[in-house]
Amino acid sequence: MNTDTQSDITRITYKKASTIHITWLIARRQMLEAIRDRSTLMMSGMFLIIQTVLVLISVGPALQDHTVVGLQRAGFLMAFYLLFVGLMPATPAIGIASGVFAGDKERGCLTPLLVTPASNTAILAGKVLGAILPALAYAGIGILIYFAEIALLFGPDKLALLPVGLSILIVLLIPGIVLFGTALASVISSRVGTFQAAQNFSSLILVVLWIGLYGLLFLQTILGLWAFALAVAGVYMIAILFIAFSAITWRREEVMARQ
Amino acid sequence: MIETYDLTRRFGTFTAVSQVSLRVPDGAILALLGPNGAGKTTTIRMLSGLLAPTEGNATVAGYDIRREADAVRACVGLVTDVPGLFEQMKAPAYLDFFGSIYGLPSSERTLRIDELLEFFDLTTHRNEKMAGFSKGMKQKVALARALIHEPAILFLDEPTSGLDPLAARSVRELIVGFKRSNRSIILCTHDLDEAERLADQVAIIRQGHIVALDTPSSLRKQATGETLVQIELVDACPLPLEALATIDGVHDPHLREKKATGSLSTAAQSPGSILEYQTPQPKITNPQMLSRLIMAGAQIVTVTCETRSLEDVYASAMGDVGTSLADVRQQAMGDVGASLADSRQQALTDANRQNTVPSMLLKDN
Repeated sequence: MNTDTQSDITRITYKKASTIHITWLIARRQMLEAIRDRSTLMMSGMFLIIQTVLVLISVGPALQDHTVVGLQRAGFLMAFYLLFVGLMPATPAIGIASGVFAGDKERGCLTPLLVTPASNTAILAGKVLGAILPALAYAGIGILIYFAEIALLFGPDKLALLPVGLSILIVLLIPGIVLFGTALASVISSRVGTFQAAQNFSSLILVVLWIGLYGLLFLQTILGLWAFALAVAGVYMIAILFIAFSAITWRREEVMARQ
Repeated sequence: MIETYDLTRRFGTFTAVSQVSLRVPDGAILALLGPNGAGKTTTIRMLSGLLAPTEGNATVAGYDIRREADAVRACVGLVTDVPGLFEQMKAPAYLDFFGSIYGLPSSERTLRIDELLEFFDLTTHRNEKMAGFSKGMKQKVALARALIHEPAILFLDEPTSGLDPLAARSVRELIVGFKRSNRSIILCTHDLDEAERLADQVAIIRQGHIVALDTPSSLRKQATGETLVQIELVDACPLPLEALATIDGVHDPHLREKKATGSLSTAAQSPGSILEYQTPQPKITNPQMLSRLIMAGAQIVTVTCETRSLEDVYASAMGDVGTSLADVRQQAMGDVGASLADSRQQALTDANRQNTVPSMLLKDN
């Protein structure tokens, strides 16, 4: 080890990086960590297999009924599964989000980041964004594979059976739910003492979210598409307000204050 | 420069750090010594802008830790006992990530990373993922991370914890190098030898309170005052203890039987005796004592002078359980030396001392 050269190390002048730049750096780092997480990849892969099986055993028989009512039912079933296949691959990523602070803290990876001059907003936003983006990617991949499976297994024309309005709203709802669930899990992770606690809370939230979603889907059959559209907009609003509120109120000192 | 004024941190009703006042000039190392949970890490976290103090204040490199926490964080480097790396990354990418957060321009980051990797002997491992690194190598990367932005202040929280002796020695050599480059360093450690070798000042912290603060040599001097001299004789002492006590500077002379060393042949030999006494001036007292004994026909085997180590000072500071915390603080702030000397006196009279404190056969130092 060359200790003599220490005093010769180049003296550097530098300026503080912008919050947006630091946010992106942290988010990119967080995304790579999430994508490299083997358990997430395995879970997401497993859900894709489950999804294929579901399509075969549920949608397939439904498509055999060629009556108008039968095809409408098949279309609604395909839309119903759209929500399922969009959210299932994203669920492990939402679980991973519960570790962005608490997990890193337990591994000792959080302290080096907190001791940098990065602002509280940049750290929280970067971590949350880094958790959200992979989950959104998994959801998108899940939806694309679902459409591809229907097209390949039953023919591309069957995609036309999907009720357009409902399907669009579901496709819009999925990122909103992923945004909300991931942000909530990340923020919980930043405000609890242990990874275990963060996971417990996140699991509870996921269960409530799933129940809420299917309740919402059921209610739209009673209240109509406009009510569903309002609910989708509400989910986005809540998610954005929640993230903004968390970014404003989060303090790194609170993380270290939890022993 | 680091200065703290009555720095206090409470977690609910628990006071982790209480009224800590310290000053670490540029180019100096302060060692924070204390058991687990004494408040060392909490102190460092407050000083590095990770934790807000409940009371009191501090300046780090001239910045107020309450009002200018961002500026404080920009000029400190922190290394903890856990390297805390993103282990799936390679060292250059990892250092580049932190260099970017500190706002270093790309060209300077590259230069700096190359320098640091060379400095830490990691150049040959630059294309390997850190997951495969040894603990020592990971700790070096953590040190490189802490130095990427050329911080004026370094906080090292048990940096040699878990390292093998050679890696620990390398890290200690590095710490000395950092000091030479005029950085102020606070080193938290359990390792008394490390503290004694590296630190300009030692602060002993117990239950959040600084109970002793001085240079290692002063702490030892304050704690001892006197040197314990042991003269091993072949036979019994030829002179009565009262006669020996008349020598100026000889305190509390007493005899004890020489213990068998373990081997049967040695144990079978004449047990002989050991004459022990304390003296504030061994250089004056010992020649007189030895000449008197020799003139009286004593056959001397060995003469050892035992001065107190930092470990004894630490044990004294930690072991004074009968004293209330308020008293301890009063002693620390008022007369550290007196309290430590008292504690040592108490320790010396402890019949079990030989079994509890490692015997140090030191030359008079």
